[in-house]
Amino acid sequence: MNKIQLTIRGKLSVLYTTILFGLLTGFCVILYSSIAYSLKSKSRNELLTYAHKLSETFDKESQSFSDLPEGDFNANPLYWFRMIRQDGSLYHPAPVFAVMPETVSIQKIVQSSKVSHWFYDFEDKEQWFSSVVFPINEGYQFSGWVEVVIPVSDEKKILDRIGLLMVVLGISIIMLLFFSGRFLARKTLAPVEQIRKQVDEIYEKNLSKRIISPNPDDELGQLSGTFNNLLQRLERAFDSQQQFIADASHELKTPLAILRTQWEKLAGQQELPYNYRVRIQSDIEELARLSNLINNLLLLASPKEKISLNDFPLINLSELVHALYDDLMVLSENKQQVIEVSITDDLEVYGDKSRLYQLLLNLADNAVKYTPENGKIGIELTKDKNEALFSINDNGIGISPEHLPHIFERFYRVEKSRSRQSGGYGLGLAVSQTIVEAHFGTISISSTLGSGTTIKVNLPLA
Amino acid sequence: MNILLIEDEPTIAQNIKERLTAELYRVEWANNGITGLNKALFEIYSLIILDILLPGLDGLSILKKLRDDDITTPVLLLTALGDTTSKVDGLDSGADDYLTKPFAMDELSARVRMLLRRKNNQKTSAICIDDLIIDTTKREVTRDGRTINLTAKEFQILEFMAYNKNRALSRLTIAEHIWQDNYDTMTNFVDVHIRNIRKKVDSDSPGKLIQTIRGLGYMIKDE
Repeated sequence: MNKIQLTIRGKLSVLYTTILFGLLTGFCVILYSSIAYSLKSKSRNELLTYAHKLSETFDKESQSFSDLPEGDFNANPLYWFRMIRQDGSLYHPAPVFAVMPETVSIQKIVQSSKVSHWFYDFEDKEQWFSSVVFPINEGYQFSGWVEVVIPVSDEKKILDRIGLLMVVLGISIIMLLFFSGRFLARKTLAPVEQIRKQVDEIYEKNLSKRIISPNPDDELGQLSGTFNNLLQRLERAFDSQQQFIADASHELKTPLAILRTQWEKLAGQQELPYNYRVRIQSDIEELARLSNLINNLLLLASPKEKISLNDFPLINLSELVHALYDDLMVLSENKQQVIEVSITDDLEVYGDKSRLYQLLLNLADNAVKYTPENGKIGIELTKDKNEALFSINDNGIGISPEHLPHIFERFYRVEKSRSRQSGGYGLGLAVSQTIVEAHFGTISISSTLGSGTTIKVNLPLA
Repeated sequence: MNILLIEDEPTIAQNIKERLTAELYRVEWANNGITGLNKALFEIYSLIILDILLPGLDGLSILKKLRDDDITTPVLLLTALGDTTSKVDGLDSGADDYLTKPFAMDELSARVRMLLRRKNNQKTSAICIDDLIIDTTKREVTRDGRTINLTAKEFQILEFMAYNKNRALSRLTIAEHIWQDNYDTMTNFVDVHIRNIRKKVDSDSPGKLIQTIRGLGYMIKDE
């Protein structure tokens, strides 16, 4: 999965979903609370109506209610009322209820306000009730409180159902929106993926290719157009770079070749004074170094061709490392270094033999250079899954950590004065890396200052 | 022996011609591709030295045309390109050998001799210097009848020096001969190899064949 695609698509759908979730939740909360509010005020109005009626129609003489809505209280066993005197004793005019639900305590009613009424809701035996405590003062036949209880289970049920409906519908809508959002985002971004794939297929080798957009007039079509213009410029720059490399190669090497033949002729002339000839000979060596430098620069400057490995001939890497061992023995002879070797035979890779040998020798040469006399150098070639692993280690001076990240950079030298003396231009490891990468391999280095360096090269096996 | 040299750079051509003439070859020089091809098609040569980048017609096309016409004259390609593809192209296209510019004249001379020797299919391809005999076919070396065991590289160096006897070969030229490509620090090898060759060839004999010409290189001296 492509990272960018995930990000934009994911972002879009998460954003949409969050916004819609917020809106929907707000809508539901407002709707729910307004329904709850109106249901509640309806039942409270009913309670107050009863309370007023009870207090107004109570006659002390007859100890009864002149206009009692007895129908309600007698017909429905869930309607109750009770009257409480100032001293807290219950007063029971008819009708008398056999079972009173668990309401607040008389104590609480007696301690409450004698002026304003108050409501409370409670649950008893899985029935929901709403209740009012209504004070009755002087001027009425009864002084104390009347408490009225009416059932609100139906309202509660309606409210619960609406709530549940809202949650269920809400979640399904959100999920629907999330997935349709993803789908829409994918559909919208599909041309982007198409363009990405096309761009991905463009290498140095086929810079003449152009991106085809499904709809050239929309924003993505314009983006493709911009890409195509960029490609055009790249192609031109690339062509001229390649031309330059080819030209420079010829133009630089021809005069070098002329100089070399001329000077060699001079160096070979017996009649010239001996010290002249020696001077000329050392100049020839400088010339050779110069052409070597040009070779390496051209290698580094030339495009990293994405040729497939099969374009290379099959070579026996094990034999190459054996040859390296022979050369390493010679190379290390002056410093009496100990060479340890372990080579797995018959490992074959597709590659450029001479370049690969240049790579191996670069590494071996470095190991010899930076390992003291009587030091130890190990070369190893093993099979690692479907790769050949070449590693070379030494117990030499090592490289300090601050230099390690730059070690593959061109012209990077750890010790400016010293390396120049040992004859490099600081291109060795950059060239090595370029060679490894041209063979679809990887190169890595690990080193501890003072205790040695290990370089590992992985190359895909044939 | 006739050698055709197709090379547009006059200084290089002149130097090659001088060197090979001094070694008693007859050298004909063509300075462009078309003249070169015509000469190669209608005259008989023992060897063709062919530059790749040429005015008129490039070296690889000339080579292809020659091989298509069944002309099997050995061809030594000279190239300034130095990169793999052109090398592979060179050998695939039917060249017998190639040299990357800039090259040492001693190297060119040795290559020419090897190619001619291969072409003439000489049965006894031995080089004799004093009592040292180098059999280049069997790759055997004897000194005063005594067999000397050399490693492959030591043999290559000794053979190269023998081809260029009485001529001081610089360490650079020897290194380039052995490793073909011009790597960074090959010259160190040469001293070690020469020391080992000396031990095997010279230490048991009174006459020291391998001489160090200080500042110039090494030489096999044949009185």
